[in-house]
Amino acid sequence: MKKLLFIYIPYGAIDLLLTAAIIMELINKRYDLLWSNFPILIWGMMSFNKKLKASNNDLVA
Amino acid sequence: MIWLLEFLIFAMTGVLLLHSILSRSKQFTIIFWSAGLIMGLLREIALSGISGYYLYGDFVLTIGGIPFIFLLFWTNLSYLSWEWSNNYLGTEYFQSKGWDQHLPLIFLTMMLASFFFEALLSQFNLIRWNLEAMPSLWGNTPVLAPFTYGFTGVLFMRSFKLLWDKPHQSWPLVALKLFAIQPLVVLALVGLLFVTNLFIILTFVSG
Repeated sequence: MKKLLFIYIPYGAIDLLLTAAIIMELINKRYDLLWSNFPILIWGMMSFNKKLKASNNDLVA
Repeated sequence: MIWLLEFLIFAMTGVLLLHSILSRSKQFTIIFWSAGLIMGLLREIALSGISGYYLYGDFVLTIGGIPFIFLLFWTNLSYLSWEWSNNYLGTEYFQSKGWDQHLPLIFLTMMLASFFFEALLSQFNLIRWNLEAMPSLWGNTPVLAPFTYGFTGVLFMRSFKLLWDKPHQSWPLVALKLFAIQPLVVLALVGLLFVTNLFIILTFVSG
């Protein structure tokens, strides 16, 4: 669990701001800006997924 | 809301500093963020203060008129893009040879991060661009802005690696190189790239 949290830190830092950005855009009804949050979210998920797989393989080996 | 944004970037910095200390070392962390802060300060002075490409909104914490979070956020992004590219490729950038796959991924991360950050700033009019001749993406953000994020990140990480990655260097020497030489070199290269890109885009726009 600790290891997973440690791996997530560089992604969580952006997720923190992304969440705030999406909430602020919804509150201010700036729906035209919402798309700008998704490219970094998707790229972050791809990178995080790769790291998770690599760390799982390390544990199995 | 502006104070909340500043607070979140401070929180983000704290978390990343902790990650860097635990995964690398305290000395490395101090030097990385200090070099980033100096580089960020010079970058903002050059782009906003001297060139006047953009003006700032009503930030709470500023240094000589420059919002402090700008210096922190851009260093944070460089660290994140480095970590994300390492994780995606499964190798450490500092141990890779020359110009490899890490740099395009660092560029990509910086560019995509600029999308959401510029959109977030434009909501509260926290940055006002003065490049009216250029096509804009949102809130008058010119199409060139994401590329400057990318170039700055790549050049910062590349020059950091070059200056850091020498065996048998003393800490004061590394610090001197990264605080004094690196920001100026990166800034000169970013300026060159910026002018080149501006020229290319303006050629297409006016053509």
